[in-house]
Order: sequence, then structure tokens, then C-alpha cells
Amino acid sequence: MKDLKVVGHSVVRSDAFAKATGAARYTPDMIPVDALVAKVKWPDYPHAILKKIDVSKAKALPGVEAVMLAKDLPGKNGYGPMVADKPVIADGKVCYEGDPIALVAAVDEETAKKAVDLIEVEYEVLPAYDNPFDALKPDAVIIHPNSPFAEEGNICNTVTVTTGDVEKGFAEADYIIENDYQTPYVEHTYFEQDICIAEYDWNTGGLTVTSPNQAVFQGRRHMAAVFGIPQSKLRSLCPYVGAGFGGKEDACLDVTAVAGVLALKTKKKVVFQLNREEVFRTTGKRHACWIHHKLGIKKDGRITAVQAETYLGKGAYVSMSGFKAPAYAVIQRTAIYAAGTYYCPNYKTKSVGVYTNTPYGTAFRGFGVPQATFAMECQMDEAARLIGMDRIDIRRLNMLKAGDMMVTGTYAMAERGLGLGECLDKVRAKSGWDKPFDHGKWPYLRGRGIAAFMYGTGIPLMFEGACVFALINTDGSVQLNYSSTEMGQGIATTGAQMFAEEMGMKFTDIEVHFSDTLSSPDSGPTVGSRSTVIVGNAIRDAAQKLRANLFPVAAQMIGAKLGFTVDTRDLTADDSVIHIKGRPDIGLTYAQVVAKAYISQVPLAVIGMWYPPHPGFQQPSGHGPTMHTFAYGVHYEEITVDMETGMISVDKSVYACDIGKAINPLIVEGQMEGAAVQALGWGVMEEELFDTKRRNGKMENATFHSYMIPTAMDVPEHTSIIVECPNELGPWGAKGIGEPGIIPGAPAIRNAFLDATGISAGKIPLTPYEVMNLVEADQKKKAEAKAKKAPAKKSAKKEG
Amino acid sequence: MSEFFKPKTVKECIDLLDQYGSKAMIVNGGTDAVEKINTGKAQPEAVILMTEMKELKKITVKDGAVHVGGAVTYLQMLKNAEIKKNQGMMIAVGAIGSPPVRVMATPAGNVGTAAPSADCTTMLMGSDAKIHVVSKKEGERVIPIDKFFVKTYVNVLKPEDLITEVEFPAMQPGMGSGYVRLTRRKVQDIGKVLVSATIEVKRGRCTKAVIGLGALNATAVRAYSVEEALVGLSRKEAQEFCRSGLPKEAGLRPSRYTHYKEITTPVALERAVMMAWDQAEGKVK
Repeated sequence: MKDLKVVGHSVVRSDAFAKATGAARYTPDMIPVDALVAKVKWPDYPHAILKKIDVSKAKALPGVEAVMLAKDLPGKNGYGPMVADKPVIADGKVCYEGDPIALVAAVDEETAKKAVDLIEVEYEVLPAYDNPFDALKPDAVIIHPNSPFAEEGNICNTVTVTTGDVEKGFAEADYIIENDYQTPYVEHTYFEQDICIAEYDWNTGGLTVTSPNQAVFQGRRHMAAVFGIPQSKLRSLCPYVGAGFGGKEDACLDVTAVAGVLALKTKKKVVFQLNREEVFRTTGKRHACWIHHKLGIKKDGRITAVQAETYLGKGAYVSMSGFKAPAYAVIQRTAIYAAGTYYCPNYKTKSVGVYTNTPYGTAFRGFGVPQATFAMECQMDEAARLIGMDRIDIRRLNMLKAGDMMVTGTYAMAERGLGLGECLDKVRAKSGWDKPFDHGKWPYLRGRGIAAFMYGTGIPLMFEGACVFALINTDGSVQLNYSSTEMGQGIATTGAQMFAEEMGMKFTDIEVHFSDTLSSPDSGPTVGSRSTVIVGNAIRDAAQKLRANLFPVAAQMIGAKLGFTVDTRDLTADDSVIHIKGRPDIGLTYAQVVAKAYISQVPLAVIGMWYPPHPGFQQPSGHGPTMHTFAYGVHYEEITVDMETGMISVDKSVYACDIGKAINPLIVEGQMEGAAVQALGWGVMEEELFDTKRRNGKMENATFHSYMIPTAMDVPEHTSIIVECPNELGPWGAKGIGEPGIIPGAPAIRNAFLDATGISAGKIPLTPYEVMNLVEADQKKKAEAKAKKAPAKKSAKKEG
Repeated sequence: MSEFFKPKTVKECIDLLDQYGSKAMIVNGGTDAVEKINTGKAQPEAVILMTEMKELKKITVKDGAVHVGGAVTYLQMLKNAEIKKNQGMMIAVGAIGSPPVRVMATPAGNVGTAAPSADCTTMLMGSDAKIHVVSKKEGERVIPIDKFFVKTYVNVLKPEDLITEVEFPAMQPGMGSGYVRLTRRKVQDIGKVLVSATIEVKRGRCTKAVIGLGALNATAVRAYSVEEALVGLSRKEAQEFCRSGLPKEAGLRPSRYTHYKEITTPVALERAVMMAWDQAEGKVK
């Protein structure tokens, strides 16, 4: 195999200079000076009937150009990334704090704010639910009565998976471990707040919308109906994005709907930007999960059965939770990952998405897999502890091996890369697992934990595939256009690397134009760790097609020079020179070849495309292929717990991931480091809280003052280890890494807590408050146990 | 629209305060003031910035007391040799915000804002500090810190008053101070429990104690009951006493954290007092 010249090398990111110097342009840098400013009248209550709305004073305010209610909308009053259930403007009822009651556009921000304050609303307040169990009580108010997007009452959707016979599996088990786990609603905390600039197009009567957006084509499909215009008249573009983590697959629709309808109404440019508090209160969150998990194991550590029932607090709208076929999403992933990365012959899960009056549960790094994996990885440590087995050994024993049936009835394939064993071995060596460990002394107890993950690349059972456009110019430079978003993950760099490698070009000869519906075909949403693999293969295809067009021209030209026929199979390309194999000096630059091709009726533009094996997940069996390849990883965390104050310090982190092939190792390490920090936040401090007792279910911590994320000082010493077990269908073997990195950090911390304290925590985050509750409960339990044993002795002493 | 002033002298500043009264807002660091102005919670007619007040930018020692000028920043405090002797003060001041915040923020601003969970204020409470104030009409006066706060974000100052300095006893041999804050992350978090202690130890027994509590009540408070009880105790007895329960001055308000505060405040108290004790006995420099 030819040595790789660009792929597999940590080339400097193409956006590094612009971003490091502050020159890079983001949406807020593009606000036109003459844009109207939009503001939204948000509800005072998360769940209420709107009895009366009076906008007369707002309309009369000088400088106000438009005030819109639901009746004033130009198109459909509903949208969403999967089903159109979220109203642009609430019509008669609000279901969470982010349902707009009225929209305002004014000449400046101050006027728009004043106008919003002048809107008067009369409410009939309804009870607000922040968890599935309250929403499922028999007397609970139905959040969406008569909705086509509800299964029954406040249940949105149920997904089940059944493999083997769990009853038989539990009967075969020597031990059954049954526990409850709970994970919180979490904010994405992306840097850049949601914003959209909408501009009316006088030529077409359409719109151009600019916003930080993880899926320009997907957004366009949903938004065109809202605007009442054909998709072809809606241009959706997205400059650099200040991070998304899944949230901007959806929140971008919220801001685009508002700015867009106001721009159509006023026929002017309109900007709508959420402030940070609005981002907290109104945009999507990670689904909170309540998981009842039952694990059967043999004395030797082998898993015999897994049964799990998961209830997801899915917020007010479907968003990315998923609904009926083929729109299975987060709920489905919680149902198919309840046995984690292990072989489990008997498996039964049921995942129920329940409407609540919290912000809609949406895509968030890991897409439901972190919640399901959290429960299973906690159970694995409980199992190891119970039977006295090493925690790495028990994982190695049970991990999926080639030919093993997965819980969805499909089979683990070595050809698609199965690197968990290598990850376990490397973490074992690097962390010093087999060396003595200092467990500290009261009150500062120390522990170490481990957790593993597997994560399928891409989006099952929906549109899956990618098209890209490539054009080589007469100077030899290439423009490579795709609709993927550059949100910090580096796809503008790695895409150029893959194209350069396949073409035999210099990396610097390729310019990537990204996320604009006007300049590229649909390469799919930038989600599910799919871009490197699926868009990458399309990029490779484009390069191969362009090579196929240009090599015959080069062969002819080189042949003419040499005076005999040269076959294209005798040629190769390196550093932008097409040459005779083994003789880089006998060749021509791409620029020279293109100059000839241009006047020889040879196409210089191509469309590259790639479609993965089509998934076929079935209900109610839960069987059928989901994703064609899986990334694997193992995270080791070392912590210190202050048993008297509940404060946890994460001291050391060692993380190995099998990603198939690192196209750019430095970028991969960046993803692993960032995900490890985000996982730490999820494990010990991040949770969205709602006050249903005193404040009608309003969010309690809608600021960075009260919602904690890790600072640089909270981050431990960290080592990233890249493992490459290639995926035969990935470009150079790649499998993807963006999403899964976050999965094992929190259970590893929880397992370290168990190791340090002997206390089994079921709930994250392990805040000081939560830790002290656990410590107190543990001390009470121990005292009670002691008291039960003690009376006999005490009475004996007294008598004596 | 606000008018913006950068007075250079105390006289110039109190003239402005006298002129604008409650319509003026002093920005002495700006951690709270700038946020209030930005979010529209405050709309002052006059914004008075303290950064040019050279005469209030000094830290001096006089008659056994440290005098921290009204425009001294936390960064200045952290670099000052006299403050460095005060272990508790160094910890409290070093925990405030982040390095960029400490470049601008000031103890006078902290006291002026009267937040219940302020680190420097709580340490000053546990240092028996005095607040020096001046106004055009009433001239100079000195208010002990335990008489300074009224309720959350309210102190005894009038709109015309300017804080000119904060004074607290200088560290002497046999004296030590400690500060403990319980937080949800390592830095940049408002503490849920704050305890400050300054104690004097002679021949292994406590001869004087000043204890401050923060984040528990509507304002930072002095824990007199603890102070009285500690006098005469040995290190071990003091440790046991601190552990014995919540100080009676801790008036916990109902919140998600009430129980947490209840069970951890005695621990924080013990740790702050022991930290001070160690310094008093020369175990830390």
C-alpha cells in the first residue's frame, strides 16, 4: 500500500490562523447595519392556556415594524427536525418556557424589548411536569391533547428490543443485579448563542437565512413549509459555528423560524439572536433518563441476561427524540445500548419517551447512548465487585467479538473494526492499573474507575448518504463543496486532507466551501459522527472521478512528450504532480493537465457520493441492522472524594478510543480531550433544574452563574490514546469520533466513587449535595446494621 | 443615558455623590455594577469609576492595623507583604472570581455590594474589620463590619457615602487566620458555605476568636457564640466543639442546599479554625 502523505498526518487546521487571530467570521459578525431586530414574547409559565393576548400597545410603539401572532403566519405553524410539531408561535397554549406567544421586529433592540414588555397576556396556568412519572399520573393534564405525535396520553413513543429469552437468561444466572439509575437534563453550553439573519429576496420572493446550523438542507426542508415557499427559494447558509454538540440541529430552526417569518412580513432584513438566558430556557437539552436495569451474571463473570426499562423526560416536543418508523432516534438508542458493548444472548428493553414541560430533549453528543451506557457500565462494576473479579477482566471477558450476535440480531464483524480489547489493554498499561493504588485516608478517599463504550456511526433508518461537489480550476486549485458544518470538529480540514490524499495533491491546493445550500449538494446533517466516514467516502468518490477524468489527458500529454503511448495505469500523483510511477520527475502538474483538459471537452466538475448499507430496524422486535460500523473506547478516571463536604476532584484521566483511522490525529485528540471534559461536567456538576414547587416549573438555573460547567482548573491530567482497528467501509478505515467521546467519562467517575467510598451511586451528577446525601444515607444504613447486631452484646455487658 | 465620571480625589468623588445621590452608581471593580447596567437592572444617571483614585490605592499598616484603601484591587492585596501574612485573607481573596476579575475587583466594592456569599466580606467579618466611610455632609465615620449589613444586597450606607478604606488587625505572633469555602467546582463558583476565622493562641489554648459565616444568612454574620465558646479551649477541644453542631448564628433559609449547609457548616468551621490554629502555632508560614 502506498504511504499516506496527507491522511494520518496532523496537518495544521485550515481555519487555525483565522480563528486564532480572531479574523474568522461567525454569524454575529455578519449582522447588516440596516437589519431589524426581532424579539419574542415568552410565556411567564411553562404550561398554560393563553386566554387573551393584547398586542395593541406594542404595535403602536414608534419604531415597531411588525408584531406577529399565530394567525399572522405565512405558512405552516409547525416544524421540527423529525416531525412538524413545534409551533412557530403558540396557538392557544404554551407547553414550555420556549413557546413564543408573539414576535416583534423593530428598528433597534431597545424598541423591540420595550414592545415585548407592552404585550399583555392572560393565562390559565396548568400544572407543569419536569419528569415522566408526574406526567404519567392518571390525573395528569395531557400536554398535547389529540396530537398525532403522541402514542397515548403524555407518552410520545415506545421502542422495544427483545433478543433470546431473558427469563431463561436470569434463571441461568448465579447473580442478578438490579438497580435504578438517573441522569439529568443537560445544556449543550455551546459558546455561540443561537442567531439567525433572514433576508428577503426581492428577485425570487424567497429568503436567505444565515445561522449557526448543523444541517442546512434538513433545516431548509422544514423551514420552507413554515415560510410557505418552495425549498428552491430558500437559501440556508452557515459560516463557522461556535460549537453545536447536537443542539444546533434544532435550535437553529427556532431562531430561523422567528427571523424568517418576520423578514417575509416586513420584506426587510431581520436578525434574531437569543441571549444566554434564552438559550438555557428555550433550546433543546440532553434527555433526562430514569433507568431500571437488571443484569444477570454467572460466577465466572459471564453475562446471561440484561433487562432495562428506561423513561426519558423528553420535554415539550418530539425534536430528535424520535417517533414512529423511520424516525427512530434518541429513544431507540437508549433501547439498543442497554447492554453496552458486551455480548448478551438474552436481552429485553423498553424505552418510553414521555412529554414534559421542560425544553425539548434533542440531540446531544452521544444521542441517548451515554444514558444507556451509564447504567450498564455502573452495573458492570457492581458485578465485578460482587463476584470479586477485576474490572478490566470482566469487560474483556464479555466484550463483543467477531461473529457474536448483537442485541439487534445482527453480527459483530472484525472487518468493520473491533478495537475494544486493544483499548482495554492500552488503558490497563498506561493507567498503572496493576500497580498498588493509594486509596487515601479519611476524609479524603481516593478511587479509580473504568468504563467502556461502543457507538454506531451515522444515522439509522433515515436519509443516510452524502453528495459533494468538486471543481478543479484552470490554475490547478480545487474547490470542494459540501453541506457539512464546520463547528470546530475540523471537517473543513479533514475533508481537504482526504481529497488531497486521493488526488495526490497538496493539501493547500484545496479550498473547502461548507454548509451553504446554494453551493453544494446535500451531504447530510453534521451529526452522529458521520461526516468523516460518510461525507469522507463521498469526497473520495469525487476525487476518484476527477482523477478518472484527468489521468487520460495527462497520459496523452506525457506520452506526447516521451514519444510513445502511456497507459493511465502507469501513472500516479503526488504533491499535485501526475507522473510516471517511480519517476516524479517525469510528469505534469495538475494545473498543466487541467489547462489542456479545459479545451478538450473534459469535465472539470464532478459530484461525489456514498451511501452506507441501508439500516432496517424493526419494531416491536428491535431487530435489524442499525449502523454499519462502531467506534469503541475505554476511559479511566481517578478521583478524590472529600467525605465531609462532598467535593470531588477528578485527578487523572486516561482515555483510549478505537476510531478506525485518525485522518488528523491532532484533531482526534482534541475531540477526545474536549469530550473527556464535557463528560466530567456531566458526571459531577451539570444538571438543569426546574422548580415545580414554588415557581410553576420554571428553570432554576438559567445562567452560567448557577449552571456549572468545568473550568480549566477542574480538568485533570489527561492522556489520549488512539487505537486504529479499521472499518473496511470507512475512508482509510475511519469510523468517527466526535460524538462518542463523551460516553464513558461519567460512569468511570461514578465507578471511581464506588471504588473510593464503597457507595453505589445511582444518580449523576455527583454534586457535593448529592454526595453528602449518599454519605449520610450510607452512614445511617451502617449504623442501623450495627444496631441490629449490637443489642445482644450491649445487654450482655449491662448484665455483666 | 448615563454620565460617566472618573474622579481623581476623594473630595471630587464625594461632591459627585452629593450631587447625584441615589442616581449615582459607583463602579469599584464592576463585577456586580457592570452586570446590573448591562442587563438593565440599574439605570444610573451618573456612573462613577474609582480606578483613578490614587489616594485610595494604598495598603498601609498603622497602630497594629492593616488599612486597605477603597480602590485597592484584589490583585494588589495578593501581592502585598502584609496581606501575605494573613493566611485566611490570602485564601479568600485568591478564590474570588478569576485572575481577570481580581485585576479590577476590590474589597470596598465587595463590602459595598453586600452580597450574602461574598468571600472577602466573609473573611473581613472573621477579621473584626472596620469600614471607613466619608460623605460631604457627615464627614468621616468608622462602622464595625458586624454593624454594616442590613439584609441581602443592602448595607447601612447612604447614597452619598464613599468607602475610603477597610481596616482589620495586622497579624501578630500567636495569631492565625483561616478560610474555608465549599463550592460545586474548584474555581469561579459562589460558595455554598463560607467560614472565616481569626484566632489567638497562647500556651496551647485559644485566647481570642473571631468567626465569620457567609452564604448561610441574608448577610455575612459573626458567630459570637462560637467565639465565646472557643476561648480557653485546647486545639482538640476546639475541634470537637466546632464539630458539635451548627452555630446558632447560622440562620439557614429554605433552599435546595439547606440540608447540605446544615451538615457541612460544622466541618467547614472546624477546618477554618484548625487552619488558623496551625498558623497561630507557627505550623504554617
